[in-house]
Amino acid sequence: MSSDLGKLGDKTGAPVEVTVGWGRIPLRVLGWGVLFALMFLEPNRSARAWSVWVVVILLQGAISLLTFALGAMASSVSGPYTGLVFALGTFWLLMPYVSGKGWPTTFWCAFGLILIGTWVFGFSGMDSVGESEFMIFLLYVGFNSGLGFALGLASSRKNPHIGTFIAWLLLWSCVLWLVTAIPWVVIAVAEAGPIALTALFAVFIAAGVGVGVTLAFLILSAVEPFYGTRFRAFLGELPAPETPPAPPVITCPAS
Amino acid sequence: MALWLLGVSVCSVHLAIAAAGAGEPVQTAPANDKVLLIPLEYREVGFTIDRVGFELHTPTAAQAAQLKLPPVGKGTKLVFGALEVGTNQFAFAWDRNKARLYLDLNQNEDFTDDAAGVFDAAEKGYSQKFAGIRLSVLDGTGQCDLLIDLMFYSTRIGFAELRSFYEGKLELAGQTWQIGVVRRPVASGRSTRGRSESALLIRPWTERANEFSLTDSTAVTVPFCETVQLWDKSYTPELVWQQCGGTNKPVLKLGAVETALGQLELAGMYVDRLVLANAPHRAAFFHGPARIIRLPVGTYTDIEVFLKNDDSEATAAFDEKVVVTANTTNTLPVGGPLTNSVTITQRGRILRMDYKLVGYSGKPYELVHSGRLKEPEFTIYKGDRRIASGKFQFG
Repeated sequence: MSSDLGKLGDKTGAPVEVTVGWGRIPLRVLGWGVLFALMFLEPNRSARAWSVWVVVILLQGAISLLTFALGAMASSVSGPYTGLVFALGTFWLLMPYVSGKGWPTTFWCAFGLILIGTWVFGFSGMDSVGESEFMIFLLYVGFNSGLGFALGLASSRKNPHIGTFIAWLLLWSCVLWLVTAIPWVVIAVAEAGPIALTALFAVFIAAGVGVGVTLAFLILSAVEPFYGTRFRAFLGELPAPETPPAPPVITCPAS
Repeated sequence: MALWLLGVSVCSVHLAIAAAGAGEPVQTAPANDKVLLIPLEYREVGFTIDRVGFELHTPTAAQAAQLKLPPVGKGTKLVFGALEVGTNQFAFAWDRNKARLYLDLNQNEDFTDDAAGVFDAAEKGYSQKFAGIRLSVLDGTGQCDLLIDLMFYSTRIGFAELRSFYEGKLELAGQTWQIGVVRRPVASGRSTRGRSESALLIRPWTERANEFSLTDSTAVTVPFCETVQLWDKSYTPELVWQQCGGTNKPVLKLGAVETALGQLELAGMYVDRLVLANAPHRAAFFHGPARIIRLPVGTYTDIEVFLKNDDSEATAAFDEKVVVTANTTNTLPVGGPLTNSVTITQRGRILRMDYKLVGYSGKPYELVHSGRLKEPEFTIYKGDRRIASGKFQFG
């Protein structure tokens, strides 16, 4: 390291030796391992079931590009969305276990699983516990995505089609992201003036990426009959399949 | 009698200045061995000497009904705040729509009877600046003037920037010095703990054209404490007012006091200026200090140090408890040489590198640059193989 200090000191500082460890990477690997293990559950024992990994890998690639483009902000921005990909991937693989249980159960399962999955997996990629921006963003992505998904389910239960669900999902996502952003935008405007309204663009982008991740899984259900049948049964458009074996115990990656 | 003699002494010096016609304050000779009297002149500058933040509030309708307010447009909400200078409090009301400020100059809580207290911002906008506000405060027996700019960034926060001080000239330690008194405004209701009401400026007379600030850690200002040590002598500073030609003129009175002294040894090199303070009790100022300095015994909590070696300069300010005792010579861990250093922390897959310029005992310093600072550079090696290099970013 070097900087010209004039006559107050040497230009080159003493070398600093650092040993780079694995950090939190194993926790993430464990999380993906859990997702991989779910492939061996009885309802997922089909070659077509592996198509969920195409979506996961494509989304992760897109998030990595976003991470690279944003540089220093990357870990705060990408972590929650990686968590959302993990949560939705898990949800898509466990969907048979929550289908046909009645909409209140479905509502809470969808909300809870997406919220917890995003939090647990996203948290494992966090830089440090003390970064409040990361925590707030993680909460936003998990809460808005989970609740938007669950409210989309509840709203489309009388007309259970993928198209109806997507329409409700988009509507609820807009409402939730805007409502939860209002307090922060109001505070920002009070502090910095109307210029802070530009923060709304960030909210729209954050909401757009969150909805985009969810839509990618819905597209999977639209184009891949294996997941199409599963999702339509989950919505109630088709009768639910026979009750599968008891759900597995999932190891929490951040524990 | 003693006071009368004092008055004559100062006045005569002041008349001598007028006769010289130089327009500059002239040093005074000591009134006696125990007291230095320095006539001061009011001076306004184009840079910010001190900056204080204040909070604004919007009163309820009931509170507003009790205030004597200027006529404002329908639906206009005035925002209120206040500044204090010594025991004086100046309330103000800001009308953002009209970009107008109403200042209660006569401090009677009536905004309608201060014709000179109405100011218009140069530009209408969300943030507004009211420049060139002159306050006159009763300070003992004299009227002390201040020039401030008020900046409003939102309906909640604003800043007052001071652009005036009182200046004098002093012969001390074989050199001519510019000595000044800075009266500092404070925000009403804010804690002033550790912040002195005034500050003393001390620097070579030849540097008087340079900008200075109470916030830049260059060790040219000292808190106006009960006891101020200037080199090897302790003084009780006092701003007094003397009748001269029918007007009250400010005079800085430095009364020499005998105090028990202790010693500190400066651990590092290149210390050009040094200020140790524990406001409002004691402060000590050194210019070109020796390796061992003598100063009043007691505890000091704030340290400012200015390093200089030829044309290379650096500053530092620490909050650190330093105890000076009569019988022992403690070490003061300040000074150079400076070293480029980096702190590395691993966060997940990210290696975070924080650059620090450190001096003796790892204390952080900042280089003083007249131009643009050049970013420090780094190179990373894995074994003998260079794998990355780059520059640190400021911020």
